[in-house]
Formats: sequence, C-alpha cells, structure tokens
Amino acid sequence: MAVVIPDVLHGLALDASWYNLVGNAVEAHDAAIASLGVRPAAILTRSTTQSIPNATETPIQFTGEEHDNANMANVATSNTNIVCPRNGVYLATGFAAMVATTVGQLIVSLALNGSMISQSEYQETSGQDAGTVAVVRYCTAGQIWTARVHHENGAAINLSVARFGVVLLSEMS
Amino acid sequence: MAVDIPTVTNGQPLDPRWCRLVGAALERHDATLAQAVYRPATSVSNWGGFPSIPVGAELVIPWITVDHDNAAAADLAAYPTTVRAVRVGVFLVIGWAVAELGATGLSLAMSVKRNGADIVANDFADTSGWEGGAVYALLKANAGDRFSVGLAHDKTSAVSLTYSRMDVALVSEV
Repeated sequence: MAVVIPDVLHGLALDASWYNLVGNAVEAHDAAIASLGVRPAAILTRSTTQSIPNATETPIQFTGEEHDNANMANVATSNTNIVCPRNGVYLATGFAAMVATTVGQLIVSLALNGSMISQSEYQETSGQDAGTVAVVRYCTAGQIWTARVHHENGAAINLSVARFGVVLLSEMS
Repeated sequence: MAVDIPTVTNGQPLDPRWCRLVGAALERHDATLAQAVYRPATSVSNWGGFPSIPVGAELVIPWITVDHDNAAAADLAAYPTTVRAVRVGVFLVIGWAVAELGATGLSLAMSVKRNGADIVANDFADTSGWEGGAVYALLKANAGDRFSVGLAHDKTSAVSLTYSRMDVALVSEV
C-alpha cells in the first residue's frame, strides 16, 4: 500500500501530519479515480477502397479515427498503426470486407511490431467476403499494432471497408 | 488535479473547509468507483426460438431471453432485436449464431449493427453441417444507440436459425 494513515487514539490531539497524510491521499485518489473508467482506446475506420495485392500480407491503411483518447493513432502521419501508450493487457479487434468477387481465401490478422499475433481465415463461396479477428495480449509501451489482410484471389482486389480497435483492459507494471 | 486539500499546521484550529473538501471528495470517489467497477454489460440470446432467415433478405435476430443485464439495457418487450448503449463509451459487441445451410457452396453472412447500420461482418462459408461463428467489434456509441445482429444467406429456401447470442459490454468511458 502506498500510503499508511496512522491509527488514532481517544483523548490525544491529532498531529497535523495525520491530516496532511489524509489530504494528500485524497488529492492523489481524486486524480486517479477521475480517469479510472476512461481507458486508453483507439478505433480506426476505412470506408473507401484499398487495393490488396494477391498473396501478400498487407497492412490496412485507415482513413478515419472514430475514437482516440490517448494519442494512440494518427491517420494523417501513420495510417496503419495503433501504438500502446503504456504497459498493460490490451484487447485488439480487426475487420475487413472485400468488394464482391470470388476471393477464394481471406485472412484478417492482427500483428504486433510486425509479427502476426492472431488471424482468422474465411473461405469465400459467393458474394462479398468479410471477416473479423480479435485477441487479448500483453503489450509494452510503444509497441505497434497493425491490422492486415491477405487473399489468394489470383490478382489484386479491393478492400471495401475496414475497422481496427485497441483498448487497454488492465494495467501492468 | 481536481481537488486541492489545504495543508494543516499544528496549533491552528482545523478549518471546516478542510473537512468539507475531504468529505465531498470521498463522496465523489464513492460514486465514481461504483460506476467504474460495475460496468454495463448485457447478454441476450435466442435459444430454441428458431426464427426463419428468409431468402434474399436479412434477419435482424429477435432475442427471446435476457441472460445478463446489469444496466437495464435490454427491453425485449419494446425492442426485441436491440440492446441499447446506456451511456457514451467504447463498447465491445459480440454476435454469435449458428444455422444449418445443409449444402456446400453457400455462405452465412453475419453482421453487428449500430442503429441499424452494419459495423462489422463475417461471411461464413458452408463446407458441411453447421455454419456460423462469432463476429465482434470495438465501437464507440452514444447513450441511446442500439446494437443488433443481422443474418443473411444465399440459399434458395428459408433457413432456421438454430442458436444465437449477442453480448454488449462497456469497456471504456470516454
């Protein structure tokens, strides 16, 4: 425990240091509690097409920020990345949909510092192919999440819409 | 820092303002902690209702059971297909469903919706037997926004939905 408030006894005048310990603790709690329910989170979106080469793991380039309360993303300067602001356990989700075609195979994956962490594979049968992926993972401050797609249609095809979110679930030292 | 508690000095009477500041801050902490600990979370399901997914049209799943709801977010009598966001925040929404198309070469498309608009989708291809799985999204919602799950298929006859579920959880205030 970071703060130890001395016990008090009947009949003894309280030392000012007791009050100041309490006052300082209340001040510290006030700042911490105010942000307790607000976790660092970023959600990126894309609603325009992006050409995805055949058989190539391709980071999705995002164009919109639905939410970012911790400067985790900046689509103007780095449109593929969400950066972990501090050590902790994060939930990441990804989504991609391709334009209607015969895709064959679609893989939607999440990568951390360029290494694949989790992926979902979908087999196209007809119409539009789309898929989601999610993972819970410990990350350190500065590590970079990306959402990627891979297909084996035989030629480049367009991604039509995508979404990518990362939220801190739990602090860790 | 939101609150500034004055420093106390030995030998001087305690100013009542000190006590009021501490008391008010503790009351505020109590309310904020309760809100942070008990996050809104709701699970609804359709287990055994077997609604029909029509040909060439989407079924927005009607829920028949509230499995968990700590925030009065579900009102299936008035809104059988949706769960509402009880306050602004970042939500995790998971849709899960299983149906049996019963033929290869077909697909079951599942989407999570916010206010009726698709947010994310999965397209599950049929290879044999049961088709289905989960679709999930992190999304920001305003208080009163409504979440739902849609299903469609490309079979030439109607398909019964076997099992389905939607989970909605607030993961962060904004």
